[in-house]
Amino acid sequence: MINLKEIKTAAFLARKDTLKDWKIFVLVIVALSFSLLNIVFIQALMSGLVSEIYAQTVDLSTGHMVIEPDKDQEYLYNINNLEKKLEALSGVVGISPRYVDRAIIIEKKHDKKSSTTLIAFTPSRENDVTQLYKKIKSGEFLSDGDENEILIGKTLADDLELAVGDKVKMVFSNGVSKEFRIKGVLDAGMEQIDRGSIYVTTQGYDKFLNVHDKASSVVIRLADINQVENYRYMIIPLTRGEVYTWKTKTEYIQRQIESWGMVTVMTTLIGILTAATAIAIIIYINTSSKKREIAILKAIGGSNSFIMTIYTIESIIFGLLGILFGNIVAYGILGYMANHPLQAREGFQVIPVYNLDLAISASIILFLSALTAGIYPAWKAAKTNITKTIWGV
Amino acid sequence: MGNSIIITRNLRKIYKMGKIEFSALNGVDLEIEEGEFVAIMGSSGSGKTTLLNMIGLLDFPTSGKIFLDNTDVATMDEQQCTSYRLKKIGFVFQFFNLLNELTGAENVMLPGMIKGNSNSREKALELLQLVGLKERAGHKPSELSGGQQQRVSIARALINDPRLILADEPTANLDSNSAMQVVNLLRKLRNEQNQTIVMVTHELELGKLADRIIWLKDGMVIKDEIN
Ligand SMILES: Nc1ncnc2c1ncn2[C@@H]1O[C@H](COP(=O)(O)OP(=O)(O)OP(=O)(O)O)[C@@H](O)[C@H]1O
Ligand SMILES: [Mg+2]
Repeated sequence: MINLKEIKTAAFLARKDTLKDWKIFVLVIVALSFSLLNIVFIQALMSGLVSEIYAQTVDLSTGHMVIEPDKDQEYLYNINNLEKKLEALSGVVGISPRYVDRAIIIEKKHDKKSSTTLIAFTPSRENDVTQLYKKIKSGEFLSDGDENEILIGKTLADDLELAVGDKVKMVFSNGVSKEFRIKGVLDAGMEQIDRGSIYVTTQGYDKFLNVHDKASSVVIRLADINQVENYRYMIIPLTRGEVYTWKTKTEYIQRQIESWGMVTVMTTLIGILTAATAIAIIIYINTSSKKREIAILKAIGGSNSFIMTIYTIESIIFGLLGILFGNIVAYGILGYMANHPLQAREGFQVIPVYNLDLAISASIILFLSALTAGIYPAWKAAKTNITKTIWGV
Repeated sequence: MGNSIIITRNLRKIYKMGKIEFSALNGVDLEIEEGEFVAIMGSSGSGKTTLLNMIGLLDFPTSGKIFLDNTDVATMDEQQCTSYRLKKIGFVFQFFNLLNELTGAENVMLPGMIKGNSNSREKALELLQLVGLKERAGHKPSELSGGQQQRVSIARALINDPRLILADEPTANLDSNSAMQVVNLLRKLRNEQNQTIVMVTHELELGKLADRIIWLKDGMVIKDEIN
């Protein structure tokens, strides 16, 4: 077994050896730093992407919770009563009943038509739950009393060559048609909204489709999003409808993310392999170029474990410095990207999520691969045949 | 015989290169006394280095026996061999073989550090003084002349007070003046500390400074003469 004095001597040699050629030293550290970055980068971007998708869905569409009618019902009834009960729950900070319908929008000048989803809500109430009002690209958001105004998604507006102030004809599901003025154009960054939705106020909608005391859905915002499960159990007894959390409402996204999860795992694995290979190659080149010195060490009485110790310590030095600089670089680049986010499309920004968990797990992975990659060449080096190397031609 | 530190019995070494076998040692029987200064001579390829490697536990015979301190080395495992090399044997290699990243003093003290001696540095400086290089202690090998490097490696061979010094052509790269200095140093050590020295050399003039010359030819001892 190796003793403390031998370890000190090995550390002394490892230090001398690693610092002997500063170019190689820097090269190894750079390779390791980039390996760490490689592991961290995809993960951080994926997390950023995922949380952005969730945030968008929650903020613009589902709120924290959604109550919908039972499968066999078209509407939720006794809405006023339900609202009162919900308001009585502390921690519920916003409640907005919505009405969802199909409609046809007709642009009159060129007679362009498009079938869209029509969503009616009371703006003051909706604004307590979602942040659609922040997504106005031009014009203004609806006010509660607007009866002849609509909001239209940006893509749909472009398709129909419509702008704020234009008049359009809307044909509703019951055959009634009516003229509306475009009050605002939305740029939400979600296809569903930008391409397929038109918004009116409940007051305006109620004029031709009686929605008294019923709703297609009720969206709810809580003070604390993490409490959704608890509130679900509190709300279930209050309604005959189904109570969903944003999580269940976004299951389709989750399924998608799970499939990315595999991609992330694969990418990370490849990142680790790349890191390990880079380290192994560098240490291997290092050791084979130093076979002569290893042979000398053995010839003067250095044991295999002593030589293994030297290279293990070198791997540890490289691993630790790789972690240090890798994290600094990652922090710098990802920090920069957080301030200058990737704009996937307008209104959709991916801010990489680089947190302590990720930094620690990537660092551990890098360290272990540095160690593993260092041990094989060290073992090879220790097994070097002394005579062939010292006296060999 | 008296107190033989090295005994070889019918030592044979066959190198295999693919299907071709080459017999480098063909039954070498030797006895070297403690405190003897022995020169090994012979033409190139006669097996001198091979023999030295076997005695120094750097390589192993195909057949035959080696006894060091009356211990059959075949009974020693790798760890024991390493430990024996560290504590009992000092090597002086043909091509200096110093570590380039270490200073002269660090090179000398290294075996002492590996052994775990705490006074390696002072001892290294003493030994460098002995080989006349004290003022060069902080220089790296690349800053030393060939002869100076060779003297550093002699100092290194002595750091753990080995009982046996094995030197493979320690003067091969030196001018005749430096070569003489090195061999005289080895002699002096033997005289002062009773170390056993086995030195391979090509030069009869240097071999004559030893107590005894063992001549090898084609892997066999052909002459064993006391000077
Ligand atoms: N590893 C090896 N594999 C194959 N043959 C070897 C090996 N080492 C030595 N030999 C052969 O064994 C013979 C003896 O070699 P050795 O190195 O012992 O000679 P030497 O007496 O030291 O010669 P020199 O004076 O040139 O150093 C040579 O013919 C050499 O070619
Ligand atoms: Mg030789």
